[in-house]
Amino acid sequence: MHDSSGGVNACQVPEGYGETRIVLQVRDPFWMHAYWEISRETALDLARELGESLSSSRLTLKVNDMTNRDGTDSGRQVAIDVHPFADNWYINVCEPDRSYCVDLGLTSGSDQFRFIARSNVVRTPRVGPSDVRDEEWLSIRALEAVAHGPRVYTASPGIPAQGMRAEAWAREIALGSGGVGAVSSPVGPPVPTLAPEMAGRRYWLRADAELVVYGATEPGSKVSMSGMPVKTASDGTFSVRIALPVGELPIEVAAESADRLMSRRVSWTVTRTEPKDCR
Amino acid sequence: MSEPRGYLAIVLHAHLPYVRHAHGEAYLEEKWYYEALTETYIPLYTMLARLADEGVPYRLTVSLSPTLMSMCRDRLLQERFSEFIDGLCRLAEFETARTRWQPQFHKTAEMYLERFQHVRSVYNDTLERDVVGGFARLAREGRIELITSAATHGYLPLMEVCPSAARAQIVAAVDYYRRTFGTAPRGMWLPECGYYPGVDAYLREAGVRYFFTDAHGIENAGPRPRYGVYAPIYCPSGVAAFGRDMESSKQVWSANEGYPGDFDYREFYRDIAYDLDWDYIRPFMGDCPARTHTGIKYYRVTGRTEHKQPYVREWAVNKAATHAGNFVFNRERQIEHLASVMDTKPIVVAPYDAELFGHWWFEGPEFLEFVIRKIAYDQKVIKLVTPGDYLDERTRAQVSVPSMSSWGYMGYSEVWLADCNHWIYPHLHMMARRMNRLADDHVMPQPDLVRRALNQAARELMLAQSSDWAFIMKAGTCVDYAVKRTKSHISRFNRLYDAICASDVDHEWVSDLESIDNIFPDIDYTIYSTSPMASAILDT
Repeated sequence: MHDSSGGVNACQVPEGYGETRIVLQVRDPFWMHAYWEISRETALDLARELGESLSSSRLTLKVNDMTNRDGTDSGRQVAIDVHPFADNWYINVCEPDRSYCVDLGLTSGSDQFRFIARSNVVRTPRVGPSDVRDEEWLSIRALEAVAHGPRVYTASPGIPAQGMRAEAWAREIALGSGGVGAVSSPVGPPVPTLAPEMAGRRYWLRADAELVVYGATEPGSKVSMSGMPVKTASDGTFSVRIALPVGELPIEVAAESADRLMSRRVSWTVTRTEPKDCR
Repeated sequence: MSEPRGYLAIVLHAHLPYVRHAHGEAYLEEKWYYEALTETYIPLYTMLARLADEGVPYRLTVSLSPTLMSMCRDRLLQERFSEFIDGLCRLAEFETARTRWQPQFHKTAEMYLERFQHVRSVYNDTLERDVVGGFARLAREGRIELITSAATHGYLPLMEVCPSAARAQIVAAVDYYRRTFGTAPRGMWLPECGYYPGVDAYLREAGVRYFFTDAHGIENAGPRPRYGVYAPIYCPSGVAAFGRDMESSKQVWSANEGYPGDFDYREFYRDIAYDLDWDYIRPFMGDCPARTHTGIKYYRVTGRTEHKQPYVREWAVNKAATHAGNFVFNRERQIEHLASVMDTKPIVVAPYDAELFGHWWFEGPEFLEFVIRKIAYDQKVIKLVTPGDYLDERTRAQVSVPSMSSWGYMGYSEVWLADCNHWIYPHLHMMARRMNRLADDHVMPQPDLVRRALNQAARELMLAQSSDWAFIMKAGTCVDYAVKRTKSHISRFNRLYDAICASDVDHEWVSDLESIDNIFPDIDYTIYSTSPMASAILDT
């Protein structure tokens, strides 16, 4: 292992990467998430440029609708003032199936916008079926023969239908349908069987008893307990743990020498009464 | 056999994140993998192989994620699983002795002992520890279509801003599959069913013919698909998209309405690990300081009560048969109905997490076996197919672009992009950009050590991208582990990046990382190159 500063077990995560930029992602048809970083250099530039008015400026996100077919700004814009120390924001948009980008900037007391960075453009998914119904059918052979390489899509414009398609049952599977997070999620001890309620307080006790039968004999012997074979260790010792049922339990431990010429038996009876719940 | 009215494609997606911890630490998380092998992967393999040996006709699609395959093929984990299953057999032996005078549990204890011993013999003797090879054999025999998922199960919609990262997840997965099986996979399971328009182009580039989306991914595709989810659509890139059928999903998945919640089935949460004396249980917990599942559970679901009743195996198996009958009956009616309104044969696609069968739903493998047998012998409406079979039979398809979607909560990205986990994206995206930069600046050939450092950087990036970490942070259990894993891969990547940029790569350090994060031994960092020339070279 290496030193703690950079060893294989180090877990240091940079606070930033020294690049001024803003990134926009789609969460769902109605929500986007933007995160940004303002580098030290940019911050110093802003401070120099804005001087006194910096302290009265607000950090602002301008959400631009870019749905025009040619990918240009459609002129529809919403400004959101965010917390001055925020470095990310969830943005609610009312209309799905549109393209957006976000400008990060400072808005001065006199409502002047000082641009800092522009995000990538994203497209939110439509809600409900497409209104475009002109179908295109092609032969699979022709489709699979399409030239290689990424291609740019122009999504069909459409007026969104009402209502989310994700159905209520999705909630149930929500956190269960993923991968493994799920396998072996640790859970606490099982909920107790005796849980008297007292003034809204739950207090519990779980208790049980088991029986350990143990002993030793000549190494190599065959040992049994009430007819059930018992494994012995190489030194001839043995130990069996059994659940203890209510009632009388006769126990008989028998050993037989390896040459089967000698044998011994030990027996006794264990009695267990019904457990009582004494409050 | 008379012509079926329609098709059913059952898809099992098996995935676990890469949880190999080389340095002997007894990580609880490694147990996820051992439990899944014991309860799901080996029982599923055994069931499918038995059906094949008996000559029962069936077709099923199985997706094995590259991280899972890598763990299955890892020597160290093979050795450790062997020890794990030995331990479990020992515990089950103790349990048959301990429950000797508890008739309500004793038979169940004997069942566990028999199952674990069987798993052990299948693993060590039949499969010779090669689980992936077992599934490959079933694929060669024409029983299953074996597909895969993205390299480390990265959630692709949140890589849209750095498409080269999404591309690399797909290209590396296909490359790994090809190295393992000799051919490209016909289909790919997009992690969490996460799709965004455009990602199909990379599937196309990698030679993948089809993928799956959740129902609304197809229903909301544009132009509107004529048959909804009951026929695949083709993306303009030439890759087919199959949509998940909600009706068949719900019957199996739903905790309340679905089969697995039936009162006769085994209760998952009531494990002996929490009921018995710590000194007795402790030797079977590895070095884990706390009680964790052993896999031995004696109770049935019973009802919405804390007073659980003992499990009765016969009742549970009978119930699995009844539920399988119900499932097949419903699919027959569903397909008859669809066939009556469609002018082509419908296909119902029913995908599930493989781990549901056996791990969560103990009787799941039995249920599946009954479903397969009933479809083979008790009806004529449905034919089991794989998506590949179906495409082979078709000549024409509708062209449409699926809608961005996932099968997570509410159908989009809010599980993986939430207050508790959104902090990872500035890092993941920056790492992807840095990886592009590294690949562009280091055209091959490079000195051996630099090349190894670059490949290791690619591994660290991919390991950090596993959708599982964000998922776990959101789900709220084992959060520390997910945070730690994410941070350690971010940290290792950035240190490699700095070292490579400074031409100061430390040999010992790189060797350490190669032995710890040893996934994808043949990874080639040039998949991150953004220059078209480099990509073209890679393609040839």
